[in-house]
Amino acid sequence: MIFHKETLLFGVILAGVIGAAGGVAALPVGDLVMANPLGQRLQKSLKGGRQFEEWTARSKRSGKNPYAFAVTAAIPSAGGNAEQALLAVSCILGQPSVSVIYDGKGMQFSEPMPVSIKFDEDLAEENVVVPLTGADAIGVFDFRAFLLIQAMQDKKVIEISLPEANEQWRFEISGLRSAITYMQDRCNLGFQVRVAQSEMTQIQTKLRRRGYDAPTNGYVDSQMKEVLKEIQSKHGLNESGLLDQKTYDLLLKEIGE
Amino acid sequence: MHALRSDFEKLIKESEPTRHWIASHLVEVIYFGFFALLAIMSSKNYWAELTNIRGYQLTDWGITYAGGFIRRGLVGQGILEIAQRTGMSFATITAVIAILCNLIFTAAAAVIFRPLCRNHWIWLLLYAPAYYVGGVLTGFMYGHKDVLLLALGGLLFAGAVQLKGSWRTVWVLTGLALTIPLILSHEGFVIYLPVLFVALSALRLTPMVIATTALIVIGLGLAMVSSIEFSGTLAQRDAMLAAFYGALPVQFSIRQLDEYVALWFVGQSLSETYSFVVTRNLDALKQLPAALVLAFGPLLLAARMLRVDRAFSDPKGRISAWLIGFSALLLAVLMPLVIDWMRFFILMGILIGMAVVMRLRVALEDDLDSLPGAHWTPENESFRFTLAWMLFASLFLLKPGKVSPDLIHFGWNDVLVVILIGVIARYRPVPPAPRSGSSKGK
Repeated sequence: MIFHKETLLFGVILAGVIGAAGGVAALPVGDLVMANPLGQRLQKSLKGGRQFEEWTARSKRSGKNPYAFAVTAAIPSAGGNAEQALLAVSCILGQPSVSVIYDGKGMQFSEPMPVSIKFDEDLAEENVVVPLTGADAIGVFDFRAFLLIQAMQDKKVIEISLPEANEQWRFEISGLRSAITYMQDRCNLGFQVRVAQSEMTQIQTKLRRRGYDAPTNGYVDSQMKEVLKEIQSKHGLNESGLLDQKTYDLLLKEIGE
Repeated sequence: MHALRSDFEKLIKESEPTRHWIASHLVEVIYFGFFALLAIMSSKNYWAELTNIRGYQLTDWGITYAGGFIRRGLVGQGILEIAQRTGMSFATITAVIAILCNLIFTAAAAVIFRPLCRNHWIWLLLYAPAYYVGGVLTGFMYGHKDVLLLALGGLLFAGAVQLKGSWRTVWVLTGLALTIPLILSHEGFVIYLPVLFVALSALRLTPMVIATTALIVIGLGLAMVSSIEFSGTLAQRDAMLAAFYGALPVQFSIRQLDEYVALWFVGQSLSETYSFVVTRNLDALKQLPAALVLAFGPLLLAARMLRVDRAFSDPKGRISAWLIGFSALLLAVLMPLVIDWMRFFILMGILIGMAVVMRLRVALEDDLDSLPGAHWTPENESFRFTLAWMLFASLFLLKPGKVSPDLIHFGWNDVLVVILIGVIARYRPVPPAPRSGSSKGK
C-alpha cells in the first residue's frame, strides 16, 4: 500500500516537473471531463475524428455548410494546475477562428477583451478576443485568427491569458500543420498570401495614399514585402518582410486604424 | 403523299383543341405557373436561409422561454421542445415549419386572387417586384417569423371568401384567435393586426361574433401587455443562447456573439435600440420615397384603377378602410425603432392587397366581371401587353432591399427602367364603360 502511495507521489511530482518544462502531452480530447456544455458538444462531435499528435480534427468538405476544426486539450500550467479547456482552430463557412472553451464561472461575455498570447519561450503578445455564443468561450476571428494560426504552426506550446476573467491556459500545439492539411479548409490557412485578399487590398490602397509603394492586388508579393520591410525597419523590427501579428498591427497603425 | 397529308391534317386537327385551350387559358397557365414557381423558389430560400450556419434569420426564432417567460418566445419554445425531445437540429425543425407555413400562404394567396387573375390591375398586386416575388428577388428576405403572419393572413382571407355561413364565421374567428399566439411569437406583428381584422367584415356581426371578437381583443391586449412587461433581461438572454445553440450542431456555435444575432437585443433598453438604428435610418431617408413608391405604388394604382371604393363604401367597408389606415399609421410609428423598413413595407403591401381583394370579392360577390380591367378589349390589348412586359422587366431591374439604409436596388440598367416608364406612359387604360347591358365590364 505504501509502495503504491509512493509511486503515485512520484508520478505526480514527475508530471509537475515535465509540465513545468512544457513537455507534457495533452489528454486526448475525448478523455477530458468538461462541464462546459459547448465543450461537451465539441468533444462529442470529434468522436471518430482523425488524430494528429495533440490535435483531433474533423472536417465536412462538401455540401452546403462545410466546416472543419481541429481541437486540442489544455496541459497543466507552469504552476502545475491542469485546466479543463479546449483550444479549437476552425474554418467554418470560410471564416477562420481560434477559440478557447473552458470550465469557468459560467460567464457569457458580451464585449471584446484583451488577451495575452505567448509561444514557447517568446515574449507574450497582446491580441483581442471576442465572446462566442456560449458561456466561458472566447475566440479570435477572421484575419487576426489567420495570422494567429500562421504563427502557431511551427510552435510547440501556446500560453493564453485572459486577464479580465483571471484565466490562463497552456496548450501543446505540435501537429497543427498536419491537422490543417487534413482539414483541407476553405480558409487557406496554409497559404498566407491568398487569405483576406479584399482586406489586404484595402490596406494596400490606404498605404499608397500614405506614400508607400504598395501594390493594390491584395497579395503579399515581392513589392508588398518591400513595403513590409520598410515599415518593420521604421519601427525597429527585424526586416523579415513577413506578415506576422506585430507587422499587421503596425500596418493598421500606419493606415490609422 | 396523299396519306401523309391526311395524317398531318388529322394531327393538326387533334392538337387544335389543346392549342386552343392553352391560348384561351394563357392567363391561368401563367397564374398557376407563377404560384408553383413561387412555392418552389421560396421553399428553397427558406431552407437555405434557416439552415445556414451564419444565417441571422434562424436566431430570430431562437428566442425561447429557457430563461423564463419573455416576449416573442412562444414559437421558439415550441421548436426547442421538439428539438430537445427528438434530438433533431433546431435549424431543421424551424426550416420545415417555415416551409409548411410558406406553402400554406402561397396556396391561400393563389385561392384569394384566382377569380381576378384575368384582371390586369390585379397583376400589379401579384407580379410587381415588392410583392410576392420580393422574397425571391431578395433571397435573405425569407426566414423570419413573418411567414407565420403571412400564413395566418392567407388562411383568414381565403376562408373568408371561400367558405359560407357558419363555416366562414368559425374559420374567421378561429383565425383571429390565433393572432394571440402570433403576438406571443412576435409582438411587432401587432402593427398588422388591424389589416387581419378586416376579415371580420365578411361576417354577419351577430352578438356572438361581437362578443367573441371582444374576447380576442382582450386576449391580444393581455398578450401585448405581457410582451411589454417581460421584455427580457441579460440573464434570460444568456439562458436562451445556451438553450438555442445547445439544440444545434456544434459548428453553429463556433461564431462570435455579435450584434447581428437576434438574441443580442434581448435585455436592451429602447434607447439602446434607438441609438443602434438611428444612424442607419437617417441614411435610409434619401431612399425612402423610392422605397415607398416601390412598395405601395402598385397597390395604390391598382386600388384607384379598380375603383375599390365600391367595396369600402358601406359601414363594414368604411371600418375596414379605417383599419387599414390604422395599420399604416402603426407602421409609421414603429419605423424609428426598427431597421427592417422594406421588409415591413412588403409585408404590409401583401396583407393589404389580400384584404382589399377579399373586400372586393365579399362586397361584389359574383359581379367581379364589372371591375375595370376585367375584360379583354381591343383597346386594352396594347396596354395589357405593355404592362405585362413592364412587370416582367421590373423583376430584373428593380429589387427591394430589406433593412436601412439599403432599401432599394436599381440594378445596372436604370436606363431601361426610364425607357420602360416612357413606353408605358404612352398608353392609357380604357376607362370602363357605363354599366348597362352588354357593355358591362369593359
